[in-house]
Amino acid sequence: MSTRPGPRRLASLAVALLIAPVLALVAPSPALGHSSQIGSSPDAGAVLDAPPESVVVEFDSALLDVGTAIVVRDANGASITTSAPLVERTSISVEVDPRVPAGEYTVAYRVASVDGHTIESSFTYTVARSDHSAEAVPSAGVAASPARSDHSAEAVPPAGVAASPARSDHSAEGSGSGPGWLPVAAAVGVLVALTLGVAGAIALRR
Amino acid sequence: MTDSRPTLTRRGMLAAGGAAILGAAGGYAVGVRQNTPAEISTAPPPGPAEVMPTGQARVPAIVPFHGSHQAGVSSPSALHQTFIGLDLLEATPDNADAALRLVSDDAARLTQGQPALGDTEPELAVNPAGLTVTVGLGRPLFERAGRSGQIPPELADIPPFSTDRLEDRWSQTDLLLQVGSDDPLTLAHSVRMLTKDLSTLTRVVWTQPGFRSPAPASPGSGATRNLMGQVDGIVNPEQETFDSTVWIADGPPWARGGTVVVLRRIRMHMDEWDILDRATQETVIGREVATGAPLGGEHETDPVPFDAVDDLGLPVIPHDAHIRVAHAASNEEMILRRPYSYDNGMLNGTNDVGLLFAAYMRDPRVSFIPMQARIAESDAFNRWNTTIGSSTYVIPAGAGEGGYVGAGLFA
Repeated sequence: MSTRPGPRRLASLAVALLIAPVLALVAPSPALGHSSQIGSSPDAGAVLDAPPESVVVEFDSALLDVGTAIVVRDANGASITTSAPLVERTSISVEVDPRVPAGEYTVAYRVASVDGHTIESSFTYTVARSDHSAEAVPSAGVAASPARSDHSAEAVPPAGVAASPARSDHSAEGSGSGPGWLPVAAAVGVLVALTLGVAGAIALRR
Repeated sequence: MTDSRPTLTRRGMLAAGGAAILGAAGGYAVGVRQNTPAEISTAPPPGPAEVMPTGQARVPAIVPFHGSHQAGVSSPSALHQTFIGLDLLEATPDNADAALRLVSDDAARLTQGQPALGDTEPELAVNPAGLTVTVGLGRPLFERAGRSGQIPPELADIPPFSTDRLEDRWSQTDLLLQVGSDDPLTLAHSVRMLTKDLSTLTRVVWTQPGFRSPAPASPGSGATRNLMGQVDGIVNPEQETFDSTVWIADGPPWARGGTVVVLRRIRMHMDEWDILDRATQETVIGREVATGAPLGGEHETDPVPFDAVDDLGLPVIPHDAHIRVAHAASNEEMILRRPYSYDNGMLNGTNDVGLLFAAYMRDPRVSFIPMQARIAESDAFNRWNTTIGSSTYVIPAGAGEGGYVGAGLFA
């Protein structure tokens, strides 16, 4: 088997390079294909009337339970995750503390697909209303304690570190407000046009 | 074959041999080195001549047979090593004692470049190339010879692990001979002489030959690469903890200064492993393939950042990564790893290749067993390898001049 990329791979790479910046804006997964997130509960960008009890992320292909991690953090970077990840055929889930106050929450995960690729990504949801005030929030240490000690996913990073990637990479899902989606819609248009154009060009040359 | 491949010509071979002798004079031939990362890492990085695939830079060399410890544990790992499992034909204390005397006598000669008594090809004994012969005693030897009471507590039964798929053909035996040399011809000859001389007392149950690369994983590395390309054998006891990790401190004289070896035949599922992309392979192990460094580190000896998180706040070393699970929970849990690869080509359409995991320790009850229990429980790597053979032996202390290994045990 040759390790040199063939024309088809080069063409794929060209498409990938063209659409990657656009994908980064609109897609929850930064990976180039293979297995990707097709849904979640709560939805990415959802605005909820009450805090969820668990978070589930679904994928378009079967998962391989190696290196799996999922952690949900509040806006301060404190983990609200209360269980180890549960991997099912095409989804991962984790229990979260339902007594959290209103605010924005970031779900970060890493999964591997059966075809041997690892995906890391994150998205946010917003709890608009909660019966629990900020005072009821357990401290970071308490939140981490129910998790097993060998799952360092629960180790709390500096707040800034946890919060920043979610905002920089995935602000589109995070905001959920009307005007915020306009550039995304535009980006989708550009993506479609680019993909069709490049694919057409490649088809003509083959 | 053309002249464009000079290393394969007779002249090339001779030149390489000459260079090798010079190299050996400056290094390995001066005596027994401790096979610890601390010492190896202080050696200057090898030049091109020393990482030639022939590995001849190490020959000829003579490793002493007599001493307080048997050779083949703290002496440098030979490039080729064969593990031989034998059973006594008739398990009596006298036969056990006779076998130990016979092996010791042959080993004392062969390792020093002398033919064994009655050697049929004495010409093949002249280049020991670091030859070591190490003798191990399994629990069945004591039990069958009616000497269960003399089984040292360190020679514990290794319990079955849920991930094991043990095959009878690699099972526990009465005796182990571990024979290593940089020269595969010397090794073959030595194995044949030893087993031939023992043939009236024992039968060979299995033979497991292994090899390792002569090239360090990277310049200055104390480890080499396995068949998956991983840098293997990085985590070994440092100089100051070597003795307490490896050598038995208590018990009768024959055991004190000995060790326990756990030999596991681990089949690697190369075809399935190949499906994973590089990043996923590294996630499974917790180390980079190229450098052997733990993820998040730069060098193979960097401490593993168990608590580090990445940009998304996810653990850099996953909870099920091999290095997290196999990491020694304490100094007590440390073991000395001297792994060898095996390659039998294809078997029923898949690669019959893997690792002869040979680990040496003072007491497996507090080291290998708890570590392997964790691995069986949660190591992500379990999907891509399967232990198909397991055996454990106490390696008695070394023999003094004129003595033999295991003296005083069965006589």
